Amino acid sequence: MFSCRDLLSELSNLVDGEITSDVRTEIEHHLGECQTCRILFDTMKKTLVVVTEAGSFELPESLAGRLRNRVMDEIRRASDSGPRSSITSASARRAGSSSTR
Amino acid sequence: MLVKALVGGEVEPGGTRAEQDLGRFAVRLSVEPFAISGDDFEVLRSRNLPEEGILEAVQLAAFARFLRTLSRGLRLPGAPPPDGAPADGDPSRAAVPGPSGFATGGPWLRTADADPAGLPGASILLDAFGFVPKLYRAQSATPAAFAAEAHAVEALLLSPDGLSRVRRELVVVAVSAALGNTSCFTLHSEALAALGLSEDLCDRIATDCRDAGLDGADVALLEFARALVLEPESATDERLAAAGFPAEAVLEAIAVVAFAVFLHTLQMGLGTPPDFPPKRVFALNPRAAEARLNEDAGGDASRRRPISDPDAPLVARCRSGDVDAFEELVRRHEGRVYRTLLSITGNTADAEDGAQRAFLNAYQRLSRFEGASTFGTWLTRIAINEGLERLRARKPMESLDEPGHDDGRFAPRQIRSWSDDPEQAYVKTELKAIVEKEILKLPASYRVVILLRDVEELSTQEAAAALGVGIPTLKTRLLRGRLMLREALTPYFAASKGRAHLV
Repeated sequence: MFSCRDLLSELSNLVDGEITSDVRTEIEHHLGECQTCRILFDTMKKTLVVVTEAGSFELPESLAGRLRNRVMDEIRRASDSGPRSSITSASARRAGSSSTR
Repeated sequence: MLVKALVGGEVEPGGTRAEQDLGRFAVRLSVEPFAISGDDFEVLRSRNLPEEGILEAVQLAAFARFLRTLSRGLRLPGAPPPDGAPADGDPSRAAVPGPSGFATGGPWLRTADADPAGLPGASILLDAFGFVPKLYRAQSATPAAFAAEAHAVEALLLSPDGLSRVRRELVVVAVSAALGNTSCFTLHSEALAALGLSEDLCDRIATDCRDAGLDGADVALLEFARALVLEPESATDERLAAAGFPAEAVLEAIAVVAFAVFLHTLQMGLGTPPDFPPKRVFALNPRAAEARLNEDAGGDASRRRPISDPDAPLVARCRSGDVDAFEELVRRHEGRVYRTLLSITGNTADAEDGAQRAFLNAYQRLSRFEGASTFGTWLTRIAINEGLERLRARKPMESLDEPGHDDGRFAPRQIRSWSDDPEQAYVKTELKAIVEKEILKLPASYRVVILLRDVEELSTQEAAAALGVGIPTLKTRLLRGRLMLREALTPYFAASKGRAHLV
């Protein structure tokens, strides 16, 4: 018998649509009988909708431009002034780290 | 353009040179699949066509032959003449072994060794064969087609109505033998052996199905299948009806024959070797077959091939000193690198500094990038390592290792329905703030997985590769992370209460 515990372990695969057809039959049967798991499945789907719709952690264009400029400035400075190995030491100085690799 | 070429049988002028070449390749594959070789793939690659694009051309050509076989079997008006049979195909019943099912050196796609585990549909193939055969593995780069083919296997080979599974497999074996396809013949012979049929039955079917000790109905079915492929004019369903097959079963038989032709064309186009040492090799050129077999025995699975990568041209330009190309790579990947770092370090200042370091590290190490993964995955890995270094420096207690193993932590407590459109419950900026806050509260090992899979929308395989963990580990962490996030978000989105700013 397919239990609530079984459903919980398949929940991620279920919302991702990565379920074999025979397991799906069992899941559908279980969902038909168990309101708790129906709510669990529905709220898990909605969790993913919310996460996707939120546009979380988008890199603001101003920040992206600044990041790009800093990266490219260092690279161009290094490639103008000598071998590439100077890049890492320059960035290491900036980051205040002693490790370069 | 491809579809037009396949329908019309020739490539119309116009389009780029690459499109023209791809069109001609697809037409040739659909008309004379035996003529395809690894050299064709080199030509297509030299036109900068991505592996997925070539793969899709193979799939389309195979699909075109599927449709042609169907229309012949159903006697639709305007059905084309036979094409699968070689011109010198012996019309007598003992015509096999047929033309060579082998060419040298396949599989030809660089993506052919991808791991399909976890792709939608993989489980169907596991059900059908006990493993994912090479023919399907070679198509992992196009997950939608992979899944569609798996479902076709389910519908056409596994479904129990009308014809039995054994009869469906016998049809595939007979068609593969008629077309001289060693690879398909071997796979489906093994499937029949696994279903309990005697080992040499398929071999006898390949020689002459009338001498294989089958009953009259089976012989009628297999003769019909063979005729539909090699001499469609003589493929009449009267004998099938006389043998007691209802009309639906005849339709199913035609569909299975068409599917077997589809599989044969795919295999010819992809050059995938047999999954098992073949007991019977259909070969006009034994040397070529031997070379192929020896190569296969030499550990095909261990051979790593570079995979297709949309960033490869930019990476190549960087290596030849083109700094602007790297700027474009930064532009393409800055969002993901930043988000990856944010998810690990948990704060924006570290994320910005870390992203900068990650890009500079990547530039520095570019000469050591071997193309064993895509540039994007490689870069994400560098970003993850950068994040981990920062994490260790600042929060010695936190790491990406699994937090204490305690299933009770993940047991759902909040069993409350959410409102119908939870994403509408808050204005966009509030929604973003809530989700970010709650994701950042998760343990680092879970939030990085949530970020890669649900924010970045990487596939399970890509996320596992970037984190350097196995797919089962990744799936466990993803499930736990999602359960914790669902728990944390429920107070905001529950239908009953908790939205203070709404009446």
